[in-house]
Amino acid sequence: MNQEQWIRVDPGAMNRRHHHKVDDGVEVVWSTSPYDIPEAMRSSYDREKRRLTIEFRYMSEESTRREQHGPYLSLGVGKNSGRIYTIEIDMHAVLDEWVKLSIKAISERAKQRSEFHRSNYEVTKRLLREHAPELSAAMAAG
Amino acid sequence: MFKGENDNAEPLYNHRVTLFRRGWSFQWCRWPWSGWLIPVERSGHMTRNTDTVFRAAEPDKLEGVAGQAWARNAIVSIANLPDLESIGNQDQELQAKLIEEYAAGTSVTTEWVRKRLKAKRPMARSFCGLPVECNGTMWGVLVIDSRNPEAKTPEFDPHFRFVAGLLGKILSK
Repeated sequence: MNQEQWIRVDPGAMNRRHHHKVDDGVEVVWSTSPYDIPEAMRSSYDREKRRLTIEFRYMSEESTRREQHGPYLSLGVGKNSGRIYTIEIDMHAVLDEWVKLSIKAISERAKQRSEFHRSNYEVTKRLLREHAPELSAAMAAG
Repeated sequence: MFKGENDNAEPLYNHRVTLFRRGWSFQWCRWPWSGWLIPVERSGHMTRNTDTVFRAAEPDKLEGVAGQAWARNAIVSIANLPDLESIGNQDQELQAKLIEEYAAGTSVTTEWVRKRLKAKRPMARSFCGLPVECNGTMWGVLVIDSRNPEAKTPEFDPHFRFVAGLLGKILSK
């Protein structure tokens, strides 16, 4: 098994801000909860099983449960928060499609949550898109 | 958090931190069956006692900065609120307009603002509400308020991330 180093996440870059002004004076800004933005992420690859695992680390911890999304991918989600903690992908059939499949699974998961509890899904999808090459490095090295 | 204000020798009671916990509370003539954000601790020694509670319900019925942060599961920062204390009630039309602006910005009713003004309670000019979690579940809200209309919001302050993480661990014990 090859495991890559943790990749630190810049919380400021991942934040989604919504500005609202009341009567040109009072300024109201809503920002993503810091609990929803991972502090770091990493990947590992099991060569024998051809399984790629992506992990996200947060400022708070909780127990997780596994959810299968199709035949090749499962998500480890927080039991209470629903946050994405791990993504496990069976690379036998998936090959280069792992980012696309992961994003699709997270989007499906997001549909089960209310509008105000989807920030983590948007952040994790963006992180996968932006850091796909670094996360794939575990497979090359493994 | 208020290092700048402290360096300027501003009284620290002008800047407060209050920890609200979500719980149940009977409120006379109000919705007793919905959840409330109840103050459990406040910084400082002159303004520690508070009986202010905010409704923690669905987004269209929430109350206050604490209620906003709770329902939206987000950091809510509010700046440049009008200075209601120095305006007084000489110009009633202007006062009414500013009270409306203050109430709209902080998600409270104009009656609530008027009651506080009448009771000479402090009226903060900026707020920041931050959700507090324990084991992945929303536990309450930390509200920072300041008389400074442009107080710095600590949303990405590494100190806040450290304190929030630590608070969650302590609360889970």
